[in-house]
Amino acid sequence: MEILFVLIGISISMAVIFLGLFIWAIKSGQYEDDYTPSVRMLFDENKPKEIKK
Amino acid sequence: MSDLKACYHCGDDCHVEIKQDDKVFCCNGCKMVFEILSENGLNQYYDIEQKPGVKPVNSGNKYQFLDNEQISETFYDFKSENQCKITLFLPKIHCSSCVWLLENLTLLNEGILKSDVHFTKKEAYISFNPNKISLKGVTHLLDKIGYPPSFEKKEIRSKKKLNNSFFIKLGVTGFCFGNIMLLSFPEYLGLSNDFSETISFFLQLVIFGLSLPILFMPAWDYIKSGYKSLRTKHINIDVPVSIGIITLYLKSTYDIFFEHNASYMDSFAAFIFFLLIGKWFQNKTYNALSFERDYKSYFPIAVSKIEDEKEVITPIQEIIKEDTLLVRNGDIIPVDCILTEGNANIDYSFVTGESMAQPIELNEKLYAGGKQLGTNIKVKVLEKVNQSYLTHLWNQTAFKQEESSYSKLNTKLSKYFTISIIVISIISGIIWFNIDSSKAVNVIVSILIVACPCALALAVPFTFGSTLRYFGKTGFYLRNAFTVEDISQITDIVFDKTGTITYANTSDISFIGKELNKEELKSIVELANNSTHILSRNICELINLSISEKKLESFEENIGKGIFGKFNNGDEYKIGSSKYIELKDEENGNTKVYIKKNQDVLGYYLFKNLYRTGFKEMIESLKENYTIHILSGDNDQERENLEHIIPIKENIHFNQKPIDKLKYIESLQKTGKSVMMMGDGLNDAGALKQSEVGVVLSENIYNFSPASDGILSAKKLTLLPNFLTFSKKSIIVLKACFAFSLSYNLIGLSIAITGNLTPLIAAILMPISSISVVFLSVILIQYIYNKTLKNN
Repeated sequence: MEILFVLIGISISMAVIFLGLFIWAIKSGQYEDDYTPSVRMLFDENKPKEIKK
Repeated sequence: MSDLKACYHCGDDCHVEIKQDDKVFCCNGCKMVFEILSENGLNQYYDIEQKPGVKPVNSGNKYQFLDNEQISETFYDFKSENQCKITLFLPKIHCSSCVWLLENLTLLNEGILKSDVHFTKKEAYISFNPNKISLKGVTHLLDKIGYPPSFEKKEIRSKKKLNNSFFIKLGVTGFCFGNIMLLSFPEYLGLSNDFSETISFFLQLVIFGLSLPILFMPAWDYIKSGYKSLRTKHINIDVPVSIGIITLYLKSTYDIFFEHNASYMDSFAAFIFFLLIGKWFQNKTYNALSFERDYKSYFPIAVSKIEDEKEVITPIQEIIKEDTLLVRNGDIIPVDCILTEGNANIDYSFVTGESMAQPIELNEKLYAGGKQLGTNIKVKVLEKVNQSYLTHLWNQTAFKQEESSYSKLNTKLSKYFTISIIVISIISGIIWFNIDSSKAVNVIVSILIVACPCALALAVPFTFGSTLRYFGKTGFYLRNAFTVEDISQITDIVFDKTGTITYANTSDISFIGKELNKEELKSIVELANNSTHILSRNICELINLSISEKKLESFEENIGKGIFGKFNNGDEYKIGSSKYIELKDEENGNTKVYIKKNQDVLGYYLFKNLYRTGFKEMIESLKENYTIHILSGDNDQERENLEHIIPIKENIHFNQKPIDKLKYIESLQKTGKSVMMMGDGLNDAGALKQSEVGVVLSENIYNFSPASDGILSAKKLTLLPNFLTFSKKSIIVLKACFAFSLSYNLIGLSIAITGNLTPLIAAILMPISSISVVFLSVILIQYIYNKTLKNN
């Protein structure tokens, strides 16, 4: 049963890493806009073109 | 139903068909946008959505203030030699095509480096090279393609939205909560009896460690708020919450370190987590709307001052007495002033509610907030901006009040709740002290723990939060969830007339005169279509014929007075005011647009107030439960019409100035009434602030509206009785949820008083009570929505 010390230690550390990633994702502003990316995803790629003046 | 073709760009009816390639457009503006997009290879705009365009309205000199460096500087987010970044609010963004076009802005002008759109906020973040294009250039480009930017202070919009730090707290709390529960599993399943001392203690230590972040972040906020409330001798919901938190935490810490027993940390974590979820649910805000605007958002940012014969763009706050200003057609008069030069024709409908524009003589006074309809005029300033007759309104105490952001019912309940819990715990403690004194402390602590108002604290966020969302879905946008409670308590409803119960831009039009034949009607439409004046547009819509063959040769517009056109068969038409067609007319308060063909006056179009469809029926269903009032800034032309509709004739008042409206609401409140004010313009700003619930009725919810508690989309005015019923029923739901959660408290109390509370029981009771109360409130509100608002 002593293995529990190690197991819990490892699982908590892994979970903390993911928590850190979550905090980093929020701080990077990824969730500022949760609607426009869904629209943007459906656009076609722009074909390169010379602009007429 | 008209058989007119729809414009390929914006979808409006084409009264006069303008053809390009093989497509039809309603006006030259739309055609021009189409041409700009085609030339630059941006036709995909039309593939993403049908008829995605917005009819461009010529903004004229609206953006002139950007020439002033000092003013432009204030808008930049970032400025360097080769790159400028700016955030622009574009209220016309409405579909995915808009997003596509605006994010491809770089193709329209090489000075633009990058642009990103935030759809829900209706903002565009644009980077551009100031050496290749100026801010004014960017603004004009956006205006040309139909997305004119609106320059107003960013703080006015999207205030109070939950920011990132809240979500981080929520995430951390959820993380700790989940892990604490996981580590408590052996305890729940009764397996911890097989553990050795060291392992048990180790698990409890880890649990304690996980509880620390929760204590220092969100829990601390609740405790601080509860303490603040006690200091002001009031008890709000945070007081029993804090009592619960502190008791849970201290008892658990004691249990872990001194008794080496299982603790209540899982209930502690669950409690905080559920509270945060409630807070998140309650805080729904509408990012692109604003409930905070004052006159500063309506007035222009800068005006043209005449200095030594030259025009200088000056910020509005720097205008002082005796300055001379130049005011153009469509401009807002920024200050109280005297007319010194030109023909003034002022539309005061937004500021005083008078529906007809007033011609003003030289040396007469002009008031701030009116709109000039006519040619350029010069004026001499009498007062500074914040000293004008209108802006004095904002000095009233009504405007200094803080907006409420708590539920009154909740607070009342918390008071009784807290006091009863303390009394019960003291009595139980005394009783137990006499029976078995060792258990007394335990029982007191158990009572305080189980009385934790988790379910109670969730009833309000979920009931009002759901109601808020359903209202928004149906076109009624509230400032915050607590407005629902205020709405449920109103007794009187006051309506403004112009623009609120009447259409601002459409009228009841009838033609008085000779019967017009088809050719004459077609000529009128073709001529009127060239003018952007609201009355011309209304005439085109009324006649409703399409023109495919153009017969008009020349066109001349005398802004604010009339239009003149020559046709290729020699006919000359004049459309305009009686003065314009040189006819004497007795003024009787109604708008008349005359038609003159060659030398004959064919007749006139009479424009009367058109009441919104369904208004009469709505008043019928409201009058049983509410007292109705009408306050109008207009003359009493409409008294007779309104007296047929409104039950109590004494409640209809005309010629009300903005301050009169405020005082009227005040006098109603002194007699104990709770008032809802419904208005649309600056003339209602005082009344909207003074009343318990101020609602702005708006044809376009993203346009300017004075500060309010709610914005109702004009199309949904007739649903007002439904909204009012819904709010009353939501209070009933709230009370049901309170009762339900209190029943859990009773069960828990009976267990605690008899000294049988264990962490396991608490850990079951708390989530069950919370989830069932949330479930109950959501289900009941959904049921009420289906009955009152759905299918409308």
